Amino acid sequence: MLLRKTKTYGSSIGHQVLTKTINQKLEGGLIIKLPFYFYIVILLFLLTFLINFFYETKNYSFVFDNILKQSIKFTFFQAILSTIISIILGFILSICLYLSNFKRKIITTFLNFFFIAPVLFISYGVIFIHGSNGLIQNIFQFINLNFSYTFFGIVGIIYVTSYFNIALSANYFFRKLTNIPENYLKLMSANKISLYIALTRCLKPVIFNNLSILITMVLIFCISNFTIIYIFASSPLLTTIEMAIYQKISFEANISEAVIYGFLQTVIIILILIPTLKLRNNFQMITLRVSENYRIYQSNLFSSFFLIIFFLYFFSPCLVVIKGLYNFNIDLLFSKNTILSFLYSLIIAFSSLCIALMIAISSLFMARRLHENNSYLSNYVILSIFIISFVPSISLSAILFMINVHLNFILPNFLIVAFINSFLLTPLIFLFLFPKFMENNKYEKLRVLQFNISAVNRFTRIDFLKIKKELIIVSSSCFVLSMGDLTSITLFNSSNFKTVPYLISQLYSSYRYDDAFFILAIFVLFIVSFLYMINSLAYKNVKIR
Amino acid sequence: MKLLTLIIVLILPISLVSKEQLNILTYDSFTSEWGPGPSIQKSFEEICDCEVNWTTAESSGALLSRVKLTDNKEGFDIILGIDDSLMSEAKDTNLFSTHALSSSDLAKLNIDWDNETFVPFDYGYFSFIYNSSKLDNPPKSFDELANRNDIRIIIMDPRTSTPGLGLAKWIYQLKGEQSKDFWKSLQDQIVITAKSWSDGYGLFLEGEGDAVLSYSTSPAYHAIAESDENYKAMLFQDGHAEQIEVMAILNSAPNKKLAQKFISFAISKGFQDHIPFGNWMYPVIDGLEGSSDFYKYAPMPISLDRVYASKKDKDLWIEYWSSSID
Repeated sequence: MLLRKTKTYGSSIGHQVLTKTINQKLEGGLIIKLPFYFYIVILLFLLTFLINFFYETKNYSFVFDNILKQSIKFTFFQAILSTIISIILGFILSICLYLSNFKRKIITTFLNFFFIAPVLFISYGVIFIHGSNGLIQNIFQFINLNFSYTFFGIVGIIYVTSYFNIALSANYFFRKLTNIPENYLKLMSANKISLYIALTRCLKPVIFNNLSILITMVLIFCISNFTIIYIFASSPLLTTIEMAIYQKISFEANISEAVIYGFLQTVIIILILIPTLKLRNNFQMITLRVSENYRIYQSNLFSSFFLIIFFLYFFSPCLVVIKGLYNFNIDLLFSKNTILSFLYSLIIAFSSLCIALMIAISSLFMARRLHENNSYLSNYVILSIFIISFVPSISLSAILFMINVHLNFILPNFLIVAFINSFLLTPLIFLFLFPKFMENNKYEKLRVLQFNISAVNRFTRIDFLKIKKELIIVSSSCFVLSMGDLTSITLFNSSNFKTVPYLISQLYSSYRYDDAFFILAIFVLFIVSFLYMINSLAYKNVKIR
Repeated sequence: MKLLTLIIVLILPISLVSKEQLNILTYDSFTSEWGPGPSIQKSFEEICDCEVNWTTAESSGALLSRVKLTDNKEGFDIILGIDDSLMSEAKDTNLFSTHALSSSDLAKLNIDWDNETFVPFDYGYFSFIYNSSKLDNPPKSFDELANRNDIRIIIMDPRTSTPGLGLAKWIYQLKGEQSKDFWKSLQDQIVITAKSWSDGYGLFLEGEGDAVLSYSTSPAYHAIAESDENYKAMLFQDGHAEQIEVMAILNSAPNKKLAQKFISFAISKGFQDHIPFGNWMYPVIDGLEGSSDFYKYAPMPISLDRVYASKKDKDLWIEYWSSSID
């Protein structure tokens, strides 16, 4: 009802004139569109290479055996289950956080951190708490309670995979909740609408619009849980397609079969998601002020109880940092290897973030422009951004590795790693900036046409200011996410080029477990400090109640 | 013309003083700060007037895959760290050339070796490692291990891990066609099938298992580097399967002469001195100073006959393992 009211805004101006203006097409902005075109060229190049590769590789075989069938079944079973759990629990957590008295800056910092925390850190944190020799089982032993359980297998996989994605979903919904315009809340308060009614009726279209994009992202992250499967899959039956690809590339040198597996996964994801990938915009009203500092609902017993459970769930694995710091090693910290690894991680993170930001912002601009011009192509822009993240990153690494072989290694390794990371970061940036970018777009379009504002001016003077805060936050998350990636670096490292996660894996495979935990702890502390600093910067001019 | 002369004048001294390059592909732990790589590099560079460049892959299996995929277009001179179970497959690729070591050079090694392409640089025996402070009565044979329901073991997936494949070989060597039944009898003891040795070993140290598949030399690391003598290898009376790590020169090596020099160096003291305390494996020559401590904590187990596996053999071992899993 509220939405319908706001949609009648045009009647006061003069409906016919408005409709005529609204139906005009926007033009210009080639410079902003360039990165997107560049990205499309890369996509087409990859596709051409693949077609040519299979054309030239005459002797490839593909066996649809039981192992592959099992891998496909398990991949999608665990991913869909984790996605459902993550989105439901993420939504509940976002409401609990919205009702709580915690500062928004703190909430977003921690949700960002839980989403981008290194997988190794959280995995070993979970083992530190729930392992056979973990904290909980030690407490059981201490109180003579004869109860033991194992976290390895499907339980551990779902538990750890959901950890990151609950944080992602909660962050998404929390932003939606705090972005509800103040005038909405005032209306609801005046009409004494309860939180339940607000969520299920009035705010439903606002909170759940474009949910499909979140589902897409979460599903992709749940499918790409290679490291988690690596650690928690206690049985060979718990194998995913990515694991099968890894085996094909690393142990059988069978790149064609690995690419087919990757293609298979991509096609299945597209078939699952394509009907849902549609651009919608339910923020058509003029947002005067968002409600981040205005509250009408308060926390209750249930929300506080859930918050405590979530608090334990998220913070308990972080206790492993104590174990890492307990093994403090100053020589290792200041060794050439460690310093170089940190340096390269920073360079990789910075490069991939720059590439991803350019592509994501450009594609946001493209998607909105097409949407505003009522072109059906807007949905294809979204699909093109997401499609590369459907390809398993290990397959993507292998394809780029083979391209570099054909180009006689003309591309420097760090650039390839930066590109691979940026392809995976782009949809994430797109997802987080999308609601803000689309906010008030019809109203803006009207003004742009009325006052003849150029595309560049609209982007720099309106869009940029609108998304600035979100941009800082999502950039910091992506920066850290890229720093912690361990997929492509395994193929492209050399004695002079290694990152922090790779250093940790080297320590790990040299019996240096204590040192590995120490570097991991330092890495995590660096991430937390970095995120806090960036969030402080983002909220510098925002008054928090 | 003047510009060209200037460029030549500038470039010429650089090219005259630039050293020869030796590019080696190996697994990552070998070149880590704590592995033997850096010390070996230093020792070799002192005598060769050259520069050693390392490139790493994550495991022994990944090394061979990499040169097969690229046809060595990356220009490596040597591949270092292939497991003996991959030798036959590696030979079939025709990517490797013969080494120039004489039979008298090979006769100095403490293992029998007469391969013309591959040169061993260390070796070990697969074994289960346990913590003697927690397990005081370790099994003395594989059968006993399979019957001990009080022992939880961590093994590795033979499709993604060299020690995992080593276990499959070991069981096949002992049980032959009965391997599938034996794997089934061992299923109750296996609590985790890790994807890699480092993950499996890490989980063992976290207390997730009572024993882990590793090498008989692993206790030497704990005793010498960590002063913890509690970790011991289960020594089975029925024998242990051997693993030999080898290196070879690539056919398309840009610097074959230097590569040959490195191969000769690999079986000398300058290289081998760094193996027991850097790679924690048995060196291939005897009489190394200070190695008695190493052997004290890593006693030689009873060795089974050496097997040079073909791809068919490997597939069979893996098949016995995979068909036993419910």
